[in-house]
Amino acid sequence: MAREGLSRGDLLLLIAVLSAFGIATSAYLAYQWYEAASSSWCDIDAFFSCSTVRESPYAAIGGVPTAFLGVGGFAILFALAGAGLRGRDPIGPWSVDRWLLLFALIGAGAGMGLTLIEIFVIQAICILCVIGFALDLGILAAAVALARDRPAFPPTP
Amino acid sequence: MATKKCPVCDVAVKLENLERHVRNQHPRAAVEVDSLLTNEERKVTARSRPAALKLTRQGKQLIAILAVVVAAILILVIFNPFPNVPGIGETAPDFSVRTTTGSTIVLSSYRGTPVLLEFMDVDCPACGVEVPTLVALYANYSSSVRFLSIDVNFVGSADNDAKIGSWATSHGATWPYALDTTGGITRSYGVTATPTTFVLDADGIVRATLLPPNNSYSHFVSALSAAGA
Repeated sequence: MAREGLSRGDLLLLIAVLSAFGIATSAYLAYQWYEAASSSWCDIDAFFSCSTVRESPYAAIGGVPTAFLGVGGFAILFALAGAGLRGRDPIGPWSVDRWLLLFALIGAGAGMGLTLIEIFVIQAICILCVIGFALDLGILAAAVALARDRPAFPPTP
Repeated sequence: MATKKCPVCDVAVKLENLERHVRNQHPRAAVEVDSLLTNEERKVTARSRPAALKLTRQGKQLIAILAVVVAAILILVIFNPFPNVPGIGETAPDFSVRTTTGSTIVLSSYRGTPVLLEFMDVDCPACGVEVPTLVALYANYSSSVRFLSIDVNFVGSADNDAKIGSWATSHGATWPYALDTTGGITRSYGVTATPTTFVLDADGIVRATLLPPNNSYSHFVSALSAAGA
């Protein structure tokens, strides 16, 4: 993606759009955890099997679907991008860009961790989870592009 | 943060909010709203107002294309309009399902034994016609073939475990029955009519698909023979 062609507004809108898709994906995964306890879906074979991932102990923490973490994380990114688009900057001690970079890093890190668990521990891949991870990486790329050209802290008035 | 006292209620209000405050909170006050701020104060409010971010045409196009692509991928994955319907000689899609008695069956755990997998509906008359054949088959093959019936809930009132269990008992069917609660299994096998029965060999490969009228006892025996039973 050519940074030169995209304005700061474009990048913030891109993050907002990707986050919105992330919220939808994570919410659907959470819904599936509750509603599809006895059926298969997006199961292609033994490795690309959403059912296997959904029924693993990593699909929920204390009875709450792990996907809710994704809903929360993407919602924060969406809210931050929306705040940036509305010109609300900085937020607290940091600029919106820095907050976005922080949460994008957390999201991508969590997504990578869960993907590694899928591959090496559960030994099955959930395609929707991978899409969520890809959205995380897209948001991280946009957040890095945003932060690259801006100071980490807003100038002191 | 620059503030100014409201000439009506004497409360300190941010400069950028003062006109709106007077207009909304004191609509009947005899105050000229336009004269509340000096020119200098107006410049201050203009500076403090967040600048609208510009979107480029290229950026909007890129984001629109990306949104359409991501939406299309999600729709394809979630609704899967092109299910990998297993043909003869292909591996049957794996699934796990909760039976009407509460246990969980994973199809792949049946590997090593041929499987007779029936998609049916307790409200489907043709399924009631087929079940005596399956009962007779079960009497002769239960030691060498796994039987599993899945209610697809295509027709009639909503099916549930009790209804299916009662139906199976009344027909003398003693193998596991399960309800496909979301239709995921049914879609993955491309089942559009009931009864549809797949006969799988010990490796989980589909060896026959039987639908009425080709679902007589002899049809099943041939299919099970092809599956190595």
